[in-house]
Amino acid sequence: MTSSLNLDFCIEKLQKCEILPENTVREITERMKELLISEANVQEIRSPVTVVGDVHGQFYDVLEIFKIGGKCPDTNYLFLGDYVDRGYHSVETISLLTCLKLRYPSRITLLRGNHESRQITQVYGFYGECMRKYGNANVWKYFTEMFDYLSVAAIIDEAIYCVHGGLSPSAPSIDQIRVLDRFQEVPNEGPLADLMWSDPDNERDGFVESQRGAGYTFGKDIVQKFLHVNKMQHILRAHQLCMDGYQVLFDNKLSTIWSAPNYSYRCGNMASIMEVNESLERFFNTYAAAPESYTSKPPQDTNKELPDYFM
Amino acid sequence: MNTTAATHTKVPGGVKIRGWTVTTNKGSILKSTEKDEWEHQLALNELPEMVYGNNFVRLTHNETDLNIVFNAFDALSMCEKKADDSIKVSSSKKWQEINNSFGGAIEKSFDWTYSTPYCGSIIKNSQNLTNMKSDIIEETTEQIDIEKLKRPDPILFFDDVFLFEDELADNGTSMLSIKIRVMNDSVFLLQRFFLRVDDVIIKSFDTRIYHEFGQQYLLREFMVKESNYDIIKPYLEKDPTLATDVNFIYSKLPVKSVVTEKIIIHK
Repeated sequence: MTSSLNLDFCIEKLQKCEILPENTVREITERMKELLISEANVQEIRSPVTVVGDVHGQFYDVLEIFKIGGKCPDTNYLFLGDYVDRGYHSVETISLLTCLKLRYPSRITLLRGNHESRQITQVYGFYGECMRKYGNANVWKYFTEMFDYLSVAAIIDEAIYCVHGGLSPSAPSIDQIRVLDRFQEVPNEGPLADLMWSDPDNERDGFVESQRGAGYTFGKDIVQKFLHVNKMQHILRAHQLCMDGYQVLFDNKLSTIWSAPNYSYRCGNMASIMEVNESLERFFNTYAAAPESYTSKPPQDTNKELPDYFM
Repeated sequence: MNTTAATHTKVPGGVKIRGWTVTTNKGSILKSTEKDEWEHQLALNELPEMVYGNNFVRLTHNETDLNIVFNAFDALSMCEKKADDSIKVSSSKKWQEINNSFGGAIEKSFDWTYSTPYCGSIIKNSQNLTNMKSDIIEETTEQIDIEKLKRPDPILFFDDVFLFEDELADNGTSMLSIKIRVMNDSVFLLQRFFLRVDDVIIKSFDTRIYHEFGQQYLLREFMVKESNYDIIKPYLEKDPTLATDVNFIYSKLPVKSVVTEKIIIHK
């Protein structure tokens, strides 16, 4: 069965924004689980590496990333999660990233974002897209099972800590993150949830509970303490939309990377990827939406639009 | 019936028709530095994630300089300064149990749902009359004529403008958006604030503005709809994707209140 899988062929097909057959998706997700199970919660990776934030199914913008940042495997990539939901091409996006990871496992690292979850994808688009494109929920099931295996953090050259959302009061040391049981649906609470959901706040110190009744923000003091305790220099995270595509906070101790330009196809924001070189210098590479991104809206996706004769 | 030819002329961003100028503007979301400034000016802990700060819809009555304007800043200025503590996200109870031991600070209260009762800004001779008792606005029993709006009259100008949007940290959505259409005989605008807190509550505040050209007033209707989540749960069990279908959810919501007012033009 394994021999029937031609990854180069799959990658070529996906790069044309064509979906893979259902049974191929089952095969790549099975193989991916076998690969990911041996990866640590906190992946150790080496510079140089290009770090990518949320892409949210904006497939043509993902292709743009490989044009700007360099092809995989010529460039090493670290993706910080949120591959699916919101955009029109979650299936193609996660299929392509999965195939690239299988083909070049040491060249690309995929972390888990809060959208790599059954609960969230049912509401925010990936589930519906799978139903539309495959006529059943199998592909959604295969991918969401695979999501349970994704690593939750990475460290570049023992110096730069990378995670989707941020820090957790119940895991102040990276060693505590290393021993979490990550092979499960993203919980709504606890350290795994915090890593994928929390946001920095440059106006309030400490961990501050949201008025919504769930979720934390963390302040400058928390970041300083985390870096000190864990002997790290910098935190890279994604998770928050920024108009410029990136935001640097806390005296250059934390960077947010946002890689979905013109988010939701109307925000008009820039996006960025970050190059980390061998000297651990960091460079943001910003870009606007790919031209195809504007014209790729599928006709099925009209649920937000009333006819002109709205009442 | 007169011929309808040449009643309107196109202007940048809109249309001039029978004594009115209707314009819209659509741009990018605010930058983080602009957001910080707005947060201070509006005394809000946090702005919605996406604030279309330069977007607007404006109706100007040229002769009297009466302007009815919709913009994000004025809309957000009307959010409550305190949260409605009866609304928390669905995971809140369990989250609190797990996190109580940390005894961390709680963010200052503010309306994180951004449920603004904003129904447009009224500006005359550069004076903002929105929050003033003025003789420009009076209550009425007159209703917007739905039958006339159902007629497929040619639409001379249409736009769809977002003012803000927040994903409530993936716990739902809060959004404020406007649709406007200009016909030969009338202009019709719908601003909808829509809130969905997953598994908790759904709310909409609709502002409709209707004006038949030549009349001495506009009609403004403010309609509140609200329900807990039970009303759509059975549908979501069959098809979870309906959770993001605003029109579907809206069609299931019961009306809580409606107020119709006249905005008088010549005074």
